[in-house]
Amino acid sequence: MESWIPLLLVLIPVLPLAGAALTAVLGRPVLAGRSHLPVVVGIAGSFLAAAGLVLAIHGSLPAGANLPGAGDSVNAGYERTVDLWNWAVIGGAYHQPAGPDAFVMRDFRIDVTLRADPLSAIMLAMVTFISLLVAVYSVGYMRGDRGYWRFFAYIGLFVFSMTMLVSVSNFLLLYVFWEAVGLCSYLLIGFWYERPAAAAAGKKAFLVNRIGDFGFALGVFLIWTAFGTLNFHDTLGADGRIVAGVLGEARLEGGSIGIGGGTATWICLLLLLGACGKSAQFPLHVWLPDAMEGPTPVSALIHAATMVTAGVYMLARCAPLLLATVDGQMAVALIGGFTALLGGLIALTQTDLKRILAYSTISQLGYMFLGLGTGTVLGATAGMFHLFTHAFFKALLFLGAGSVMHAMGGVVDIRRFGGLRRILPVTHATFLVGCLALSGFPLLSGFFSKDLILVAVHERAAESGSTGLYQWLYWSAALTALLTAFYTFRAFFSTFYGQKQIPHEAGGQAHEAPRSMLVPLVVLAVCAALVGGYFEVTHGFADYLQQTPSIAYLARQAPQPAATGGHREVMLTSAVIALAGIGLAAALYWPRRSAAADAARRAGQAVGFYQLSLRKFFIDEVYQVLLVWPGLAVARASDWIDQRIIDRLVNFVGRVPPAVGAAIRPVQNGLIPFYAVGMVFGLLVLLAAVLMGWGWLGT
Amino acid sequence: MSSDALWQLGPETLVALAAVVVYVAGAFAAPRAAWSWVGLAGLGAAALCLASTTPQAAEPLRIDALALWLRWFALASGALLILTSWRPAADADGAELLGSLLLIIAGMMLVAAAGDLVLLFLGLELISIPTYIVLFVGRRTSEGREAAVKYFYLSILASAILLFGLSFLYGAAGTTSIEGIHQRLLDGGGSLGGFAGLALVFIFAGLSYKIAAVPFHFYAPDVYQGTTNDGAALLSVAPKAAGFLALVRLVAVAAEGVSSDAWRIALALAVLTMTTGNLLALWQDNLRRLLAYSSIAHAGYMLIGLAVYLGGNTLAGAAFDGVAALLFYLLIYALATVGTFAALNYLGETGQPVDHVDQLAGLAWSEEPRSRATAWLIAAFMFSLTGIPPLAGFWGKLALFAGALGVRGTEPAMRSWFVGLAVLGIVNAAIAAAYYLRVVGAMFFRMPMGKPRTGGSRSVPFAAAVICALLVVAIGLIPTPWYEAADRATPAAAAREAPEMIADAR
Amino acid sequence: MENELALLNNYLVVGAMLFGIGVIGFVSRRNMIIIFLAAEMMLQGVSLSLVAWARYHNDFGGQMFVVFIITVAACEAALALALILMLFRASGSLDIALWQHLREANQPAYVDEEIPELEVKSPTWPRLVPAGRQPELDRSDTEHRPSV
Repeated sequence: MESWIPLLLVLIPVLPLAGAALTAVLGRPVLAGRSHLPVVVGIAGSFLAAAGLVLAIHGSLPAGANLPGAGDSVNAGYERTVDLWNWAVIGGAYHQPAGPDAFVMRDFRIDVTLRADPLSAIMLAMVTFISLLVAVYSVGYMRGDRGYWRFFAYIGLFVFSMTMLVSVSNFLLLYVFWEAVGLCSYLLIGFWYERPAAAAAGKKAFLVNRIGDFGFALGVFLIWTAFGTLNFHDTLGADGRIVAGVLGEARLEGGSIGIGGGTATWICLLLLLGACGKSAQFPLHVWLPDAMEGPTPVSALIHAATMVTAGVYMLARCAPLLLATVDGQMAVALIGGFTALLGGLIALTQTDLKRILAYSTISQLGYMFLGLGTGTVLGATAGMFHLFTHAFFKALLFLGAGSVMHAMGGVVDIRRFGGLRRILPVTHATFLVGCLALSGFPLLSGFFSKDLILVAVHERAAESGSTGLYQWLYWSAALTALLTAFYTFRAFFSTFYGQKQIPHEAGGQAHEAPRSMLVPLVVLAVCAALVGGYFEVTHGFADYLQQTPSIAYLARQAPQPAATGGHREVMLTSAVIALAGIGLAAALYWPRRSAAADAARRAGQAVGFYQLSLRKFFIDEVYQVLLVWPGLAVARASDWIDQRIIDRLVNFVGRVPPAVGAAIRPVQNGLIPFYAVGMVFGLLVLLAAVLMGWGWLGT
Repeated sequence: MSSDALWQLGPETLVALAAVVVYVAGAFAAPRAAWSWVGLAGLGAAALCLASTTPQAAEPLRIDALALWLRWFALASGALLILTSWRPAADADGAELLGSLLLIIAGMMLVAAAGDLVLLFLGLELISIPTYIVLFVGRRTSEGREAAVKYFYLSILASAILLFGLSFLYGAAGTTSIEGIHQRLLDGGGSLGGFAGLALVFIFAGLSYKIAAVPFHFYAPDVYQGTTNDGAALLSVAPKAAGFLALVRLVAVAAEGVSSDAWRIALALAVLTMTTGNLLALWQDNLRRLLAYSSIAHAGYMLIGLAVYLGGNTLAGAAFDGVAALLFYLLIYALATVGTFAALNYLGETGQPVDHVDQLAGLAWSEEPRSRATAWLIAAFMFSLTGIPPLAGFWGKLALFAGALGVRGTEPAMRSWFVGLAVLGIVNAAIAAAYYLRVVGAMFFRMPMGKPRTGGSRSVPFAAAVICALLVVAIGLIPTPWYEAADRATPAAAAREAPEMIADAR
Repeated sequence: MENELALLNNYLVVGAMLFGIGVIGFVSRRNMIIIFLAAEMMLQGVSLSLVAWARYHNDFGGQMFVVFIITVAACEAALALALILMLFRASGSLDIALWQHLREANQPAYVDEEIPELEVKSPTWPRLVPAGRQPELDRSDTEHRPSV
């Protein structure tokens, strides 16, 4: 089985790319309404390959792999790399003094290498599975759109980029595909580019992400200067010696990543900045809600389940780096915890169904960051587990929202429709499952994964020598769980219960979505309900994930007691919290917008909280004041300086080459004798230089 | 010349034979396409012969890895040039042009294989003389005649200068064998060693004409502008490749004892050439004239590689070899330039070539799909010539500039000269972007001014452009094997392979 | 040996002078045929040097080289004459400066400076006066006549 791994690794990205290429070439002239076929088939093949990869890796894991906390058994994890080709070599690019008269010299070497380890296998399987369902859903959702073929070509390209992102084994290539998924996201947010809001949202996403990418790029540079390699894995140097990759076995087995102090902290902070941009964490989260201007399947796929988790994936991959610096861990945890709370608070009062879900996504991603920020193996697996389950239920919720929009003629304002459970029975049922999973209803998948994160934070807080920060984060996370349950069910009840109300845009034809849209909903609902429980019972996810070198390293560094019985109280607490949140929402919004709800809103308005939440804590406005206005002021000032000074300077510099060129143009006067004189003159100058020495050229 | 040597020259003989067939038979039948097939067949046969011949030492020849590289390059670029100048219709002068083209290819291969001054000179003339015919016959207008007369007169001047240099080289050593001269000069050359310096200057000057280095470049813009796109493609590849190879062969030999002059000349010429070429290109509206200045500028970049080679003594194992970078760059430059001319040939019609930037305006939005594709092809070539990653040109420039940065130098201040050279190269690359992007901008961001003509059935030049573009992209994505192929062909690699021979020689 | 070297030097100097005269002729003449002949003269200078070197080194390589140079020069001469003939047919002149149409777009054409023509005033001749009277002679006319 293991021998299949290289083939599978290549097939996973190539199949969607081939589908996308086929659609891009044949889409408009030939395929038209069947443009989805190549892409759907490609992604399906890709999913099968990814599933095969998971099994292949599972089969190759060392027998009797240690359980977390099983003690001293050394577990190096499993990784396998496949070199496709060597992209670039720059000889001797890295010099590092190593003692007097000696220095380490290394090539700048970029291999296009794909890697297989449990972490990327899980990501690959998840990404391709959700992509497949979303692609099938889009067949119904996008039918009749003018850009039908364009949409599927983009989706195929996205799946290619995303699968490459999680399977490359090099920071530079990670960065390349990081940008590539960003590009796909940009293209798909602005898919309906005729709408000014969509175009503006695309631009906003692009610009905000630039800030994060800038940080990421700096982080990559810093990694290069600190490690002298950008590979995750170990490679053979030109001299036959092993060049220890940043996250390779040679380095991790040493027990220390080899850097520490300020460098490690800076690397972590810069990578965190990159992750914040892509994963929409405070303060770079502002682009994600606006990104909902894109088609709903895109929101489900890119802006909920897959692309936005790239930051989490990257941090999980770099967990050993994170372990080298406590400051970095705390920054990750703090950003995550705060964003989770902030997202939950803002989601409370939003009235746009998709935006509620978007803020919920931000909040849940915050949870994942929080888990990773604990710096423990339990936290990392919990964060990845939450990523995994979240992908299912959040994709489900978005697709459900898409189904509602489909029926309501594109209306997303929850105040304008209600009581839809009879019209959209399947959507209602699946949406309910998604809401329960999201809010952490006991025994559904969200419950287990969120619970694990809470446990990890709780443990970290209980650790001796820990600051009070994690205790605070624990309480804030618990509060966030309450908020999550509340806003989720607020949306749910407003949409499906209460008085039946249908906006006129629906044209009196409101009906359940076509089958191609319902099948993915049902599949996702089943997954959302069951995956968490399945893995909680079998413990399969955590065991599997811990065979990843990066995470195995965490396990070796800080052996954890098994996360089992001792956490009953946490589990109980979170169950109670979830139920309380749901109950509160039910009390206020079922039946529709009761007097109690109004009272609550008035109370909230009285203390100004309602406004605060509705206006998203004025973060956009804060941006406006802190960044945009000073930015504009600086822009005006610089504009002035630019126009008056720099521009003239630049224009001047820009005019120098043509001016010098103009000055020598007369030598090309077309006269053969003149040209001959020029050549002879050149010859004489060279002769003079050689015969008389080169004093004028220095020595 | 021994029979061994004749055997070794099989590929050249086959190409020349094909030329003779085309010349003679062309007098009786005119279809150019058919003769193009014959030419391709000749090249194919030569390639087979080249692949099956085991290189061995044979007196007037010197068939080392460098020679083999350039012979393969000559065959491949020759095939591309034949494709580029393919005409579907009957063309009265087709046979003459094609025969001359084949002779030029044979000349390039002969230069590559020459191990003797006489043979080298004959090879260079075998490139020059048919070129006069191509220039004169290719375009029978006033401009074509002017191009021919300019190239002819300045070329014989350059030939005479080169010959004068060769006579000094011969005088200093007393033998015409390049290897023999090298040995003699290594021994100090006796009282006549001083003539090597003179020889160096004259050889540099004479060959600078072939590679269009400033101030021996004057003909290039006028001649490119005056001739056809085929002629310009030919001029931008064949004399350059042969000239650079001859420079590598001769200057290194002549530079024994005067190497401090050699790298300085190369460095000064590189600076002058790339700067002048780029600055003058900024003003051009005629596409062929623009590409002529572009080819001058690229000759300047390649001279950087030569300077690095002559400067010698690079950081051990750290840098790009100068000659390897030069050859690698030559390949990349030739692909992009021939590709561009092929694309222009596709767009033009017989007698009405596309020669103005304005004629490309709005090409990317043309009705005809292949014209749209051509816009993308030309854009790829322009980006590659600019040196934008991930296209091949980026790696070429990287190899050259990084090579210059890796020179440690044997003399004080030498390193800073080379650092300055690399910096100037980068500045030049930035300046060059302005005019390359102007071409791209015209195709993509301007309204068409009148329809760009499309040559209908000229699929063969189009195919040539596609091949070039694919290679440009492929080299960009996977540069290493191509660079390594060039690296294996360098004198340095030969020295690595046979260190004991060098030791013996010393 | 001393004698040999002196002899060699003589030949080399003559060769270099031939080459130099050729260069000067090449850049200073405008008749295409003469320019070509000047180039030939440069080649003769090279050939002379090569022969001298060959004699000095007792090596036939140089003489062989000269034979090849002469052959190639003959080829070029054939081409040159054909080319010049065609150009003469096209333009009716052997002046090489006529071929300057291809140049930088903004550069003015090179125009020969006209040899300034002498001002030709209508000559003043002595006027004949009726017989019997002394002619009034302009003093300047008698001393200097611009043209006769």
